[in-house]
Amino acid sequence: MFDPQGGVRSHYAPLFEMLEDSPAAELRRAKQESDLIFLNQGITFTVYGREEGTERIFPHDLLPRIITRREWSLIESGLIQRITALNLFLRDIYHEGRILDDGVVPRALVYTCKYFRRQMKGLHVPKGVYIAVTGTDLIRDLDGRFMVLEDNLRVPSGVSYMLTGRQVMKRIFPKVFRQSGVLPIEDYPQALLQSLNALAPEGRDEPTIVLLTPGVYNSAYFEHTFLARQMGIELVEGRDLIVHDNIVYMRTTSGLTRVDVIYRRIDDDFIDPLAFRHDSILGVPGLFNAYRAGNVTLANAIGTGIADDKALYAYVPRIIKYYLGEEPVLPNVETYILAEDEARQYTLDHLDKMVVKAVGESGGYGMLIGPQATRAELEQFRQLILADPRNYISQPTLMLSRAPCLLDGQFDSRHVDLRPYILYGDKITIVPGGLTRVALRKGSLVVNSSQGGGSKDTWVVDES
Amino acid sequence: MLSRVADSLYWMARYLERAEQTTRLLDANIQLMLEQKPDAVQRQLSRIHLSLGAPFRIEGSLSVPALEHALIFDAKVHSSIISCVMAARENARQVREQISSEMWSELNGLYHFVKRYEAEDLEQQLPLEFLTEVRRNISLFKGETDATMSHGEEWWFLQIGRHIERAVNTSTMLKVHAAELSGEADIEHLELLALLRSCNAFEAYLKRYTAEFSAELIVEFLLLNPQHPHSILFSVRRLADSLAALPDVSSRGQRSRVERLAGRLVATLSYSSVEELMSGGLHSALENVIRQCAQLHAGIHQAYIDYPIEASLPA
Repeated sequence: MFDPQGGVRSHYAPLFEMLEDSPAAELRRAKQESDLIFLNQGITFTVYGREEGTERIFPHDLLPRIITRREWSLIESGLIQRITALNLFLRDIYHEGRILDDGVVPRALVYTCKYFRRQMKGLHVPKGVYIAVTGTDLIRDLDGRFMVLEDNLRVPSGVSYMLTGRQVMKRIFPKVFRQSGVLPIEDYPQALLQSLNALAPEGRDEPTIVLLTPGVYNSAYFEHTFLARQMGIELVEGRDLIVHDNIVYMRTTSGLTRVDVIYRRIDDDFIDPLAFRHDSILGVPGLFNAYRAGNVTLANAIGTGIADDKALYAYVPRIIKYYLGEEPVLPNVETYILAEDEARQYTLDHLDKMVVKAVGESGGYGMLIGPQATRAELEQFRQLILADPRNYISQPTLMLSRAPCLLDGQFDSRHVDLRPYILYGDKITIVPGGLTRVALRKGSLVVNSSQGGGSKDTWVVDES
Repeated sequence: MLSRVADSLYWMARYLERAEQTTRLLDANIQLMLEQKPDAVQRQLSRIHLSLGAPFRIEGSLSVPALEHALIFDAKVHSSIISCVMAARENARQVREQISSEMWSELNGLYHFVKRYEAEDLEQQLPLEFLTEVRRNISLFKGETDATMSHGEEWWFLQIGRHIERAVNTSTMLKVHAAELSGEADIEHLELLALLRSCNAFEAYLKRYTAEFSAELIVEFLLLNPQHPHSILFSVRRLADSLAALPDVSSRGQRSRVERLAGRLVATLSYSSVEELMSGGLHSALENVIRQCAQLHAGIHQAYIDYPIEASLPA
């Protein structure tokens, strides 16, 4: 919000003026009003572990995060480049595997990844598009540069909070909105529908598109109902679908209706008990065969998780270079592949300043945070790395950028990230903005909704 | 519409109708029993129990507080108010995006209201205020349903659920009193009033027949009155009309079966006199209605919800 000299950045000016003119009581009332809208509209997520699933509202911070159009253009071109390359990578490894032959990405890394699906080998997907929907997490370093923290190529969620957050903000701050020249995001559902339409199996000109949800107990169920309603498509569960002669039908009161495109919000593992986890009751028996037969499109395709694997992440800059012959527009967080001698030596020399992650793990397990580790832990990781260098990557300890938030009527700053949503159908589209997630607990770097994270509206504004 | 959605809507309406029935029954009988002798109270308690399809086992003799407790709070008793409201809400939650926000908010409010009511409140005083509030809430829900939801297929499935449940409920109520109404056993004046009140029909009966209570007139009213919404004839007619409004799936042959079943039931009642129905035995006539409703339920399920795949593949 402020420049290094302490002045207000120009694109924050209308917001700043409004805040200066508003007494604390008024802001507090605005905050209550916004919470109430969220509650009444049932914009909730489910917290697990309690009887019959407890619904909570997703904390929403009133102060928007503002990004200039110039910054946005860079993000946009960077994401288009990255997603194009990752999609080419997926097509390649599930077909000829040139990138593996050329030794750019180690074969073993791909074939031992638990998200690699050998069932996808040689399968042609419509228009060659594997990742119809991506949510890529970006952070900003201390110099203000955006960099990619993580790609979510399987079933990214959160877009409903982006859309409903915007609706609420427009109701509460209509004036600032007009003055700031915020670019609209409301066409996301329509753009998503268009992308799904574009990916229909050949010869299905007016495809029937459905959204497949695991059901009411899923934490993102609100989002599933929201998107289905916004797109005007049917929200189905696994038990609503039937596969007969490799064609997928949904069971309706007027008989079986053929389904052409499934926007699935169920993980690979659970989607078809015959092809993947046989104990899944959420999926549809026979769906994968229908998919292989080309009679139905799954968005995203099966097996996209290989490209957002932690170890593979380190190779993304090289993947971009390999397929597109370009330097990455958005850098990765610097990542050392410890199987490589030079990187390993550097990491071992600076272990107390590094974060070390085991590639097969997620959610903070098998991780060393150098600056916070004891001498014994450092020594333990040194041995682990030397014993099995392939299993580890390292990164310098990050300083996430912060943004001002309104907490209990006071201003304070909190760490934030940004997740734009990238759609890929006939072409790649990104609505300007995304979901800004906030670590609401002071000092915390964790932005997940289940761990005290919240959201903010994200405004992309014209500087002129 | 998805079959699963139709099924949830159907059951949501059935459970709410059942909750209303239990509420009305308690409401109509609690005051009555204050004025009755102990043995009459026992008889009445067991009638209430049977009217709800004997939803729990009675050990020893039943007391008024025990029955109230079971029918209000006991989640294991399938026709208790709490069970029915919870089941209706759970069905609504499954199809949250298909019903209007107003409907959801009424039903959710009812659920929280019922959950808040505690056994201690019941010890303090008769639950009459509670019962009134439940009824009011259900009525609000039905009002919102008619006012805020499109009267399309979804709405018709709600009508089907409501009226099939109501036809069965009124039939069961009458069946429990069949011996008395056929003159084979004695019945007190107060008990007749409770029967009419339990079917929401007391004032309507007075308008139709004045304050002259005879068993035969009461049977005629509850069974064959074409205008009263709780009479069996009215309910099955509504049921048949709602079925006729559903999409045509005649290619599968199942719809014609459902229509035939509904048509036969309507015809049997429309073209019968009360004397005829009673001459063959009131009890068996009512059993017959209940059995036909069960067949209709199964027929609807087979035609719209759980039909065989082969029969319905597009040509």
